[in-house]
Amino acid sequence: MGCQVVAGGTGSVVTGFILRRLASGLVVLAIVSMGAFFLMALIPGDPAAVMAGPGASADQIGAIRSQLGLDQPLLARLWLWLTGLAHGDLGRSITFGQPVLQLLAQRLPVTFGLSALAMVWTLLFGIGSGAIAALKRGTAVDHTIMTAATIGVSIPNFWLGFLLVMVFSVDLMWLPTGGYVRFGEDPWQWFRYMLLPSVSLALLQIALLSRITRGALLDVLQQDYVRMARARGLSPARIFFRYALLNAAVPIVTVIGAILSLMLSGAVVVETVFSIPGIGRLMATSILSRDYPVIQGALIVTASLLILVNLLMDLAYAWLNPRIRYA
Amino acid sequence: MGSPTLAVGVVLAALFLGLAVFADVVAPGSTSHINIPGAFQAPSWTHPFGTDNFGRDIFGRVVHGARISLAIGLATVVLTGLFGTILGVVAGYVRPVDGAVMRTMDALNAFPGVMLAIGIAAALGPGASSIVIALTAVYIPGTARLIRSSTLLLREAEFVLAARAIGAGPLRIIFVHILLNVLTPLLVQLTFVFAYAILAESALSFLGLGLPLPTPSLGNVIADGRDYIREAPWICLCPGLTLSAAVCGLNFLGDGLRDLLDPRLKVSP
Repeated sequence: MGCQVVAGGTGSVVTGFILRRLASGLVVLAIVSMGAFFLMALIPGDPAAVMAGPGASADQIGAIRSQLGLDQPLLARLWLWLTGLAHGDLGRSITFGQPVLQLLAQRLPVTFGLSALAMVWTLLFGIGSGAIAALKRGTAVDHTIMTAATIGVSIPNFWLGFLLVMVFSVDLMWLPTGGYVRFGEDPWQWFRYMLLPSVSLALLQIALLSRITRGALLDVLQQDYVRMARARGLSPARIFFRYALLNAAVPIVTVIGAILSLMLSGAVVVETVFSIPGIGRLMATSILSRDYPVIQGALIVTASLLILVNLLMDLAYAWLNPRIRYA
Repeated sequence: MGSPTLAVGVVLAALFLGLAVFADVVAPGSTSHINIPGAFQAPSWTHPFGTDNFGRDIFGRVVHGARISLAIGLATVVLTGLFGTILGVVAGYVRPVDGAVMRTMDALNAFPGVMLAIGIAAALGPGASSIVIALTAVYIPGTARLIRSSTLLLREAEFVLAARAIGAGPLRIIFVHILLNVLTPLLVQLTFVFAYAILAESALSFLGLGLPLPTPSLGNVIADGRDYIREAPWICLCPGLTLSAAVCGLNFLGDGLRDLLDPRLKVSP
């Protein structure tokens, strides 16, 4: 009976935590939606004329104005924008003439694939190098890894992309200079085309995660329960994997959302360098063609995704660390 | 590793600042002077970084581009520091507005940084002020959050409670006790903001959202070289190395300052 009461209490605390996080996420999403709408208001002068470009006729400008509802009062446009969003309508691209959501849906899997591969490198090399640095604390290995991590966060990813192309595509001719093959079409070719872009995209995140992993592990390795495990004669490997790494996962999980955010940012540049038809390149080309509905749509879709990922990471954090649930 | 990190950071950052500030002395003459017969010259004593497809001296373009990157980075740091501190202190000290300020910061933070900067810079149109506004919007949330958490700790600190007990008003507490004590973490944070702003500016310039050509910035000078990687790799390599060394110097400086000013946060042993 007592157990049931405790279990029920725990359940309601967890439910309360989830609901609080969900409510906070919804508030942020509402602010993000309005922020994306007001972005258009930043355009100096007549947004329709700016989007139509120099040399556009009055009719063309008028057509864009009525397509975007710019001839209506601001509050009416805001209402239309918000109700449209609720129905999954992000407007229509000026360049492509297609619904923005459709354009983004076509390109999202490409960016997902690139980010997923970059995430694999990030987790593998970021956690791996951070763990080695922590285990070899104070040695030349540690200093080398940490110095490399600082250099890693200082290299612009588009420049790194050029360097990789120069070495692996132009000189050695091992990998293609750019382009894209769908995973479903040929997984091996997809990997060959994605290898250099994913490495360019991952380097910054590898460096960040390496520093975070090292810090988290050093913190855990100094805890009493690790000393106790050592005193009990447990093998270093068992202590590392069973006690240290598992507990260090808590701070690592909290930065996954931030890492994904950096990756989506990096995707704009990396997809442009390697001519990958993802959401980042769509955004980059939309800047040049002043296709603001696409820019707005890309912003709101990526922000919503990140809010969702951060919510999931908060839940994972609470699951990994019971102290958060009961706070 | 504290002092060597700081020393390397200071040297690299000082070199970058020196080059940018004394650009007219280090590389006098026009950066956009076209000299087709002198195109694609490899690095030499006359042209330390070689020449590009228009025969322009890349060293001159890099040095003058560094000045623009520096100016944009500094302006971003000043605005981010100013607004981030105001918002962070207000959110941390004036509890009724905390939720509204921090949810707005969360919303700004929800956008991927470069994408938000692109959105704002694209809406405002190309130009240095657009980039500064866009980057400031990207870096304010992190700074405001840092200052808020410091303010939350400081407002309950014993010396602040004592000041309140002897009748100090909220403005005196904020200006004398809180702001002075958040300066250390703010300084470290702004060093990193400076480094990231220079990197982000180069990315925006690369995407065509920077200053109109032919004005050089480190991003567009690198982008200029992408079509000539095979024939003239120095066009891309030299400005990239300069940019990476500058950002690396600022990151080392930030790490060193943090280790020096707050040993509890030390990254290196």
